[in-house]
Amino acid sequence: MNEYSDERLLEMFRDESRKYKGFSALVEQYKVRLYWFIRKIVVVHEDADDVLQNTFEKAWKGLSGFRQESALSTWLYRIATNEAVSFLNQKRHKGFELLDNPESVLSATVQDDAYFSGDQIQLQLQKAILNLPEKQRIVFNMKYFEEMKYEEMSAILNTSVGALKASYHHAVNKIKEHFERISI
Amino acid sequence: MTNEEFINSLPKGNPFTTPEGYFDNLTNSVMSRIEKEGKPVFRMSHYFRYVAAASCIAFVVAAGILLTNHRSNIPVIQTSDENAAYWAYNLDKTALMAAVLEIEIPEIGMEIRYTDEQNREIISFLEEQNISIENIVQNMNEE
Repeated sequence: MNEYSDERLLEMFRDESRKYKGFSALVEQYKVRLYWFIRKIVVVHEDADDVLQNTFEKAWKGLSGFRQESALSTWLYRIATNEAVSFLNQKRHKGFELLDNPESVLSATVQDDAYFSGDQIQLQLQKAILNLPEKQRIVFNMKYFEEMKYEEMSAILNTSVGALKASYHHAVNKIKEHFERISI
Repeated sequence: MTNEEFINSLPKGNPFTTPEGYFDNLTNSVMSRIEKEGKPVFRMSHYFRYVAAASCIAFVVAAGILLTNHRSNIPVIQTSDENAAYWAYNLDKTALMAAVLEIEIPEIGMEIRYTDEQNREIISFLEEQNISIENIVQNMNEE
């Protein structure tokens, strides 16, 4: 598949006769990376699919107002992050498992997930990540799995680079402690 | 072990999977949803939505009374908002138009009367759908 530049995608979208084609190309281009980013936050495939669909729907509605003050990918990740976080909040408000610590529920979910094929170390890594506070979890996933630069993360999460570095540092410490505790 | 050594010792591969063919169908699935969202829909006021459920009960009671009495002329229901909401949700476009024109609704053999405001909302909806009043009346006359 052809990889389009942000400029080209936006140009197609802004041309009324190619609006759908342009957006379809955008979905094609970003669907895989956004899916995996969301999946690591919400864990369950069906939930990730819902959140991803909502993300693209929001993008469709908002793209005409996109001012290009950031890269298109940054803007899309920002929508995806907001959607994933509000999805988890809604779950909490709906009395999801009625627990104070929904992260522990997510962590337990990984183990039983039909779409999880990792080995024991990967399972423990995911469990450790899912037991992190939400912000640290997102920062860790962005830095470790997505290999994002702090500057881009800063633009997505609207948080200073210093604070992000601190979050990542705390996250790594907690994951390390988790592995020391279970002695793998 | 330093934090950096520790983090480098961890597997970076993706342990999650998806159902087979998920990504192949994803773009179509997203685009279908967007196209569907883009189509005009009949949006009723919040009040109508709230009373929609209650309207079912109201209508059943009204219809029951009318049918039990079984009069020879066509029964007429002067709509409350509850009934209007019910009909707007449950009747097809022909029946909606019939109701606006205050003529017998073929499906139930009854006449429903809407208030002027309700009529305007329904007609506006039908116009958005490019439904011609003349065609509907003509079709009904032919039937």
